[in-house]
Amino acid sequence: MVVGAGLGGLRTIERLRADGYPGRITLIGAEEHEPYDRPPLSKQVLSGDWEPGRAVLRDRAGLAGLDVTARLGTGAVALHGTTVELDDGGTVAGDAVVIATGLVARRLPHQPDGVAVLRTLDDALALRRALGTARSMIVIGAGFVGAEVTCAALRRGVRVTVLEALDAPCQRVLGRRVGELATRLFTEAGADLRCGTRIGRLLDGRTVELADGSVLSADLVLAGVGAVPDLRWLDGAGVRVNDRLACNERGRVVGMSGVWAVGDAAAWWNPATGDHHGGEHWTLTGEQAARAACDILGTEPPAAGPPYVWSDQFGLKVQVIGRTDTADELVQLHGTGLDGGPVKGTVVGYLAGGVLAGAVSFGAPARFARYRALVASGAPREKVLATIE
Amino acid sequence: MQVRVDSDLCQGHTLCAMAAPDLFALRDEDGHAYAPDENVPAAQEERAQEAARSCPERAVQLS
Ligand SMILES: Cc1cc2nc3c(=O)[nH]c(=O)nc-3n(C[C@H](O)[C@H](O)[C@H](O)COP(=O)(O)OP(=O)(O)OC[C@H]3O[C@@H](n4cnc5c(N)ncnc54)[C@H](O)[C@@H]3O)c2cc1C
Ligand code: SF4
Repeated sequence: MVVGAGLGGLRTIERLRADGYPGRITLIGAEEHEPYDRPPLSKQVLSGDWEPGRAVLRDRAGLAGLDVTARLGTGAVALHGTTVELDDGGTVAGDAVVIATGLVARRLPHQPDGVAVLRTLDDALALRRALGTARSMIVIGAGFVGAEVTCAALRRGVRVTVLEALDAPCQRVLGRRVGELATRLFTEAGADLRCGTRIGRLLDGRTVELADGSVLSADLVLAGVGAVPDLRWLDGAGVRVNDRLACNERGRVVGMSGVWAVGDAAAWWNPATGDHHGGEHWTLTGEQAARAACDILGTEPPAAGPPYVWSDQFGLKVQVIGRTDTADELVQLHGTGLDGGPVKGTVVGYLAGGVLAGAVSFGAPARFARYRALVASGAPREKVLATIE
Repeated sequence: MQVRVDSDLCQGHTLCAMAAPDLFALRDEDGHAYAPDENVPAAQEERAQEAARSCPERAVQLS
């Protein structure tokens, strides 16, 4: 039984069937929608380039093709052993439970309902409608989603003010110095980016009071301040959940038996770093789904690649591979963005202890491709520099 | 089995080439992928499926 009809849940089922799992499979999903993909929500769906149906990963016929009983529009409210209780009063029991319930948008304290968020297809469609009439917008949080929404709004001629608490956009991922490149992407596109801005409180759906007492207002306010798991439904399941579900390196939830977790709601044990690490990435979710499915089947799981995340913003693709948070040295591998040159075409390597731990590319996908293998193998500095050409 | 990359959908993540290095080549300018030989050898079919699954744009098409 799979709880959560998003990417992780669906990919787990696809893998189980591809590898010959013969048993019954039930998919429980709180949203009415057929399982859909989230990255296009802040990109093609928001911009209007795609009709929402194109984001669907598998429609009802496709689910039937996988021989899945899909209970869409039904939420799980409790777990006892491997029996799930549903909000319609029913229960479903299985030999194995896979939890793939993802995240919900993080809310600011006392956030009024009129403030927009972007996590679901319904959120994206509501935001797209609102952008159709708005002339001005405030985006709180300059992360990847905030950046993508900013682009979509600017493209529609909406004036955008972006409020970011840290010193640069996407700073947690990019670090301070490379974050400066992201700053330039915002400002060169015409957004009014204000870093180091603390929010006091949200007065209503159009008005923000900053910590210094000044007040800003716009036709539309979006809170793009990240996402958190909502695992209250596991309260009675006999496992302590602090944040995400701690799992071993095959996705089994620590402290439970017959229960796996994949995707954004899970934090898998990483033997290399010795900690439970949660991602919020498309690629990681698919990988975990495949690995968990193999563990359920007792087959050899596929090897894990380095983490990868991308964002389409300001007319270029930002790509991040590996870890950027452990770096003690940056090298500009291509382009001249760090020296004030164009952001587009810049590739930066993140070295930790002299080996390549991660890399970031701004609009240079083909050049960037080669660094994936170097990150995966932990290539030393000389080898990285020799690759530049 | 045959494999093609829909060049309108491909966004150059290069993940397909990671999953199946023998089946895909990458264009230098933009990282977009193509299959130099559309016929997938039997031994590579699993990898081709892996590549199709790993493409975020669903640009890898098998037939
Ligand atoms: C706007 C947006 C843009 C993104 N862009 C990118 C990107 O460019 N690149 C990238 O790498 N990643 C991106 N991501 C992240 C990526 O989409 C996620 O990592 C991925 O969707 C995680 O899959 P998941 O299965 O864990 O969760 P989800 O896809 O969130 O699916 C979880 C599902 O579980 C359901 N659910 C929750 N609780 C219950 C319950 N109690 N009972 C039943 N069902 C429940 C939810 O309704 C939801 O449908 C983006 C995410 C968002 C929101
Ligand atoms: S993974 Fe998909 S989008 Fe990326 S290069 Fe391959 S076909 Fe293109």
